[in-house]
Amino acid sequence: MLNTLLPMLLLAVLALAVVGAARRIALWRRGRPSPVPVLAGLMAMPRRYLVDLHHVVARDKVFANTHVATAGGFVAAAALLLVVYLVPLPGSVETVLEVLLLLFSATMFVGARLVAKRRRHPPARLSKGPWMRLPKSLQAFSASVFLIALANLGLLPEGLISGVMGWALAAVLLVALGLGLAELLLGMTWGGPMKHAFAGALHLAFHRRAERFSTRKSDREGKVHRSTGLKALNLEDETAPLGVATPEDFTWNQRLGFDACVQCGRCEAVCPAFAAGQPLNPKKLIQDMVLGMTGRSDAAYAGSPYPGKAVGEHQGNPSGPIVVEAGGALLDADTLWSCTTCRACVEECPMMIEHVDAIVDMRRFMTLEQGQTPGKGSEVIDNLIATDNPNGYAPAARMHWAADLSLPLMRDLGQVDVLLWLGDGAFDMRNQRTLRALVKVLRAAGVDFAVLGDEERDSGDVARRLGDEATFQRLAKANIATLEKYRFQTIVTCDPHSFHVLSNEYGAFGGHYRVRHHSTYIDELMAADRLSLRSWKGGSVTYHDPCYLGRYNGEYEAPRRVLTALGIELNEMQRSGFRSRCCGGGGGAPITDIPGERRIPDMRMQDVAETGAELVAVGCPQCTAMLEGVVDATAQVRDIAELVADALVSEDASGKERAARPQVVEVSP
Amino acid sequence: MSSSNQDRVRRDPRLEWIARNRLHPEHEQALAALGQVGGSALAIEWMGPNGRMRRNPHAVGFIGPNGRKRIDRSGAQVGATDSLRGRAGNTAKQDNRRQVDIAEPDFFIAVVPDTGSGRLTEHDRDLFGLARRLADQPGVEQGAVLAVVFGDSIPEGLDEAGADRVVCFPIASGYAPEERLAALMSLEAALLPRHWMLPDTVLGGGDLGRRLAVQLGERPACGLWRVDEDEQAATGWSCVCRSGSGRWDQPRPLPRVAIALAECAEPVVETRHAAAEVEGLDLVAIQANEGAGEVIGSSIEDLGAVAVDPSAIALDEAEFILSAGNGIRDWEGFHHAARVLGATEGASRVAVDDGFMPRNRQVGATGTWVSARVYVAVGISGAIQHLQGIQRCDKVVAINSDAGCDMVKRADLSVIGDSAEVLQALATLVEASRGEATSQQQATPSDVHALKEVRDVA
Amino acid sequence: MSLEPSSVNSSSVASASTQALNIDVLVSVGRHSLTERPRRADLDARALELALRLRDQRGAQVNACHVGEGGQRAGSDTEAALRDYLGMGLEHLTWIDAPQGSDALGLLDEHLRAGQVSAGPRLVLCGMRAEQGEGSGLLPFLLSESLGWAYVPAVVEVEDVASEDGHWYTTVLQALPRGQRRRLRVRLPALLGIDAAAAQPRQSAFGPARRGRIEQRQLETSVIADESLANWPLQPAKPRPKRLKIVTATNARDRFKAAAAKAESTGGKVLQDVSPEQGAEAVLTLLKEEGVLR
Repeated sequence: MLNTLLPMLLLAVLALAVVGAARRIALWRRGRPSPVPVLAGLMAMPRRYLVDLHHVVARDKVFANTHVATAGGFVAAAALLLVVYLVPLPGSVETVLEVLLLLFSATMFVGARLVAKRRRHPPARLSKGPWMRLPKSLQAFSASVFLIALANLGLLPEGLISGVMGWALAAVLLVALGLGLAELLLGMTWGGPMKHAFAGALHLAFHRRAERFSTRKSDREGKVHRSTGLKALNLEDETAPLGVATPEDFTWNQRLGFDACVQCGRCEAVCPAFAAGQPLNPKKLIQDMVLGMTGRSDAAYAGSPYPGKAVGEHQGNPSGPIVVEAGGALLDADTLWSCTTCRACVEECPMMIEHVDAIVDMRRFMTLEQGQTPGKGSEVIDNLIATDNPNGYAPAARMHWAADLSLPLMRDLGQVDVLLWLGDGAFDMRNQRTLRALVKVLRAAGVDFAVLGDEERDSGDVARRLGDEATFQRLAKANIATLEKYRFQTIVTCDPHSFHVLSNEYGAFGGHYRVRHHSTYIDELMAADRLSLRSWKGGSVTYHDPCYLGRYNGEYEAPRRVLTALGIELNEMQRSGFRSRCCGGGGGAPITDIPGERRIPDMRMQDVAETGAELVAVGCPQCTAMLEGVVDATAQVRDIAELVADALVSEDASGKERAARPQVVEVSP
Repeated sequence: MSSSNQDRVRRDPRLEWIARNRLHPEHEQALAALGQVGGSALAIEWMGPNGRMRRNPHAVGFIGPNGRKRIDRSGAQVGATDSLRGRAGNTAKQDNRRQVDIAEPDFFIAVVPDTGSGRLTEHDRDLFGLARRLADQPGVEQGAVLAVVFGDSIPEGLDEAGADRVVCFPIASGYAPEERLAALMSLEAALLPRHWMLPDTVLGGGDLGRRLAVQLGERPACGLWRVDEDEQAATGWSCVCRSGSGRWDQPRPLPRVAIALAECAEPVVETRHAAAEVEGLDLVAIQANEGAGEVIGSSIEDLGAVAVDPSAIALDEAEFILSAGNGIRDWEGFHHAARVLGATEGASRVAVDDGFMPRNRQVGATGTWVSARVYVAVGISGAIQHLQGIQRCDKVVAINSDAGCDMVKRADLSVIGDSAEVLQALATLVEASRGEATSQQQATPSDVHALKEVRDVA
Repeated sequence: MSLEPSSVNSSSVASASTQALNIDVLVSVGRHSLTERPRRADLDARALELALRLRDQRGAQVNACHVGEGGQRAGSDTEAALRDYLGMGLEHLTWIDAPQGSDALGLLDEHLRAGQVSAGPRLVLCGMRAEQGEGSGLLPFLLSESLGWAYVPAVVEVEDVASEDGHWYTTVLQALPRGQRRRLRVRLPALLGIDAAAAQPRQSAFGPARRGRIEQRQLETSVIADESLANWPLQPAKPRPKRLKIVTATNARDRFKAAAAKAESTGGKVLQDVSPEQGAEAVLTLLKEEGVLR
């Protein structure tokens, strides 16, 4: 009886799953077009899954193994099940396959048990609701497949498969298998926890940032595969949309990406805004985007809400606005403006979802179309438009801090090795100390450098994160035009935001440069033995990774090498490297200033305090400003350039020493 | 106003004789009496028999820390003696003003001062100084400065400001530009002043002056800040006007209507003028004749002042700010004190970050730049950004437990102590003084209420 | 700004909606004070903000108009500034052609008179003075005279528009110094000069600014040159001399002291180890001296 009912059940489920898939794909395709290479994407998908995705999942070793067992077991068991029961096979092959089926379903069952165990006391970041039922479905499916395979191999005791018992067993197995299949196959395409497998696989294949993934070629060449720059808007075409207003304004593959979310909450666990009690939770944001596609309310959402906002009060509309000023739409504006664009969520996401892109897309609409940049955002944008710097200082005052340094200007030289990009920190008294230190270091190393002086403008970073693409593009084009006039090999900057924009976002407008963060450049100078340094004599030190240097550009090592070379033994914070916690200064967050329960920099200084360090080394003007603004901090905040400059053995002093000694020698005999 | 009685020197020969005799038992009292100083304090200066100032060198100076007498001529030491002399000197200075009377002026320079709250403002005095320059131009003609004021009474000090004549229109305070304009037009017809001068203030002279110029068909000199003699110009004077943005100057001949900025000229300091009411002008009749017919008609009605909640005033407009910082523990007490004092609440960044105060109350370079007349910083240590934000404040008071903080260095008055206790004491004091003056205090709010009622009925 | 509950009673709103309020906003080209880049003029933008609020709240008709030099429009400074106004949410804006150095008065007079056809209440809003050129703030006075409409300067809020005895009146708040306000009732039609204390203008957004239409208009009124500007050209402002302390001392020593003394040192008084009451007393004295205690 099993042998007749089972294929029918399988075929029915398969057919239904295909219908569901078609519907889901049609739903995604209601987004804006985004051309992708379909075949190449599908071909690359297994590698993307097995290498890139697994690389992220494997950060949690135990769960990675669980997932391998469960998912691997399921895929293999399901495939074998279909082959065995739908394809007529010679007996011997079938027996081999049945044995394999036995093995894989057993593996899957072990995995499913582990999943169930984790679900017994789930951490807060995991969503509950239907996800609590998933381990049961997994176990039902794997156990029933295991027993069916056993029965088919004739390994079950005779008493069980004959007579009433046999009927009963068959019925139980069919029901269990049916339930399992419903959850695992139908759920994939009709919506349910397993949706992530189907959408995730396609999401990997048609990802909007294909350059994020490694290929054999890139591995061979040792190239980094990172894609962190925001995508440019087309402003030339007056009919082109400005950002995202409704769920249908996302590109179809962004919508696909939202569906890939497994609600694992890793993003929530690392989000600084969520930790600070600001109304943002990246996981909920992505789930809201999913709800937006179908226009449902978020009442059924079973994870942590946005801090301070109850679940069930927001309702999506597939083609209606995502944000309404009065509230109650899919999102509230303050959720979007809480983001510091630190990319911690993107870095942690095992499904490679691009939260920051989605947030900036929605911000773009609010700024460019609605003019609703909150807080001091509109003032900052007005200043950028009128004065090319966010605080509205006179552009001619950009070099006032260096009046006594007689810095060489590009305008006078035309060609140098290093172009020193000052950034808007040139107007900030604290950052001017860093810049002075950096100039001292460059001079000590005898670097041939110059600055743009008054010709420099804001890189456009803040404008772009605040969604003002128009101002960003204007600044970018103006800066590129300025840089085009001069010849240089490298741009060095102590501002990771400028660094990121110059190296990753100007390319779309024709500006391709070799850009180095000052820590990287100082590291290169040290490696070339161009700096003579005293060893460090201070107390214990920790290092705070700036988001735009670390996660955005993968530079974790150079600053540490520089500090180590100074003789500093780093006392690492628990969250460092790619898991570094944001200082709260990025993405215009200090400008929009969405209130929370805590302040992000306070939490970061608490991280510093936990290491017991007396000094925290930073490499970013924003981080310096945010961390120094913490009241009653236990640690001092110094930029790497300052530490290096302090440790410099001055050329003059050592030269004098050398000159003095021979004289003494001459006189003494 | 005649000053001859005041200037006459009355002499007491016996007293003067005692004052000359240092051995006389009543010598010191006599000196004191002559120096017009009450009590037993020694007179330092007095007027001698010939009207000359006399000085007692023995009364000068003070007893130094080691018990020796010291005379400090640098002026750095401001002791009791100095303040006494200062007062005496002041009366002397006033007396030194030269009285000027212009009996038969050849022309009038009309000045319409703002007379904010019944007193001449500094701006008004500058304007009178300018008018005097025009009236007293050396030459054939002698002009008189005519002060045109509105209200029930003539404000004090017009004589010292430099007005020869005064016209007072009994028009109540409040916003009545059309009525005032009609009054000025009547005066124009009666006296035909050579120039009209008004202070360039938004609701005062700036408004009235422009209306007047438009009525006269004149292109007024707005934002005038400088006047020079110029033979080329028709009026004999040229002037420089500042543009509204402050970026441009416009030199031009001085027109009949000049609307001038503050510090357009030096105020009068050396002379005293008659400030006599103009006789022979039947203002009521003139007003009735000229009437409202010519002007637009009374289309603007003043419904009176609006009771503004001090805590709702925008920080950059507020004149009295009570600002809270990290040192505040008792927030209820702070808000209470602000309410009692009628101060606008401000806050430092930390207080805002910690959620005790809303963001729009943040003072400083990253918040709002304020220009209050009095800024009371409670428990604010004075980060550089905060001090930048309050650099335009007139008087800064710090209430802080740390005497070494930067805010105390900046403050004009610092009280070191527990901020909650000081605020509490301050609130109690103010409440007590309010209690004494209840009757007076009620006047203002009830006026507002009355107006409200009138409005509601209407 | 929360004043006492404003008297927007329902009847007046209803009566206002039957005959839509007609608002003309006069806008000019502003300049950033440091970089001189063209942008919306702050006061005019506040005027437009006020008008747009009236549009959103009670369905007023808002028309903005600018008088200025035509010629090369696309990419000109004037266009950039006008687009800033459009970005606040205006669909179109009228640009009345006037040669450089001409007097805007006659043109505005004709433009506003032409718009008078509607029977409803009428308001004209403008900033109190321009950011460019003479900026004397005289234009609204002249316009008020030539149109015969009332002009009220320093307005920060339009509270109400209602009709009474066949006339339309508006209740407005006027800014007094130091955050104080005065309520005025003004007969319409009227010109309102908007003060810097009025509500912040809304952000100008790129999308609406790009989409908004600028409608050129040529008027029949013969253009008169602005005599003031023609006869007395503007010069870059010279810094004004700082006033010296006036010394009126009668004796040599005081005069010497005044001449030789440095600026008064502002070392403040520090009261340490005093009781809270004594401290409070000192603060109170200062507050009374400054006259901030009401």
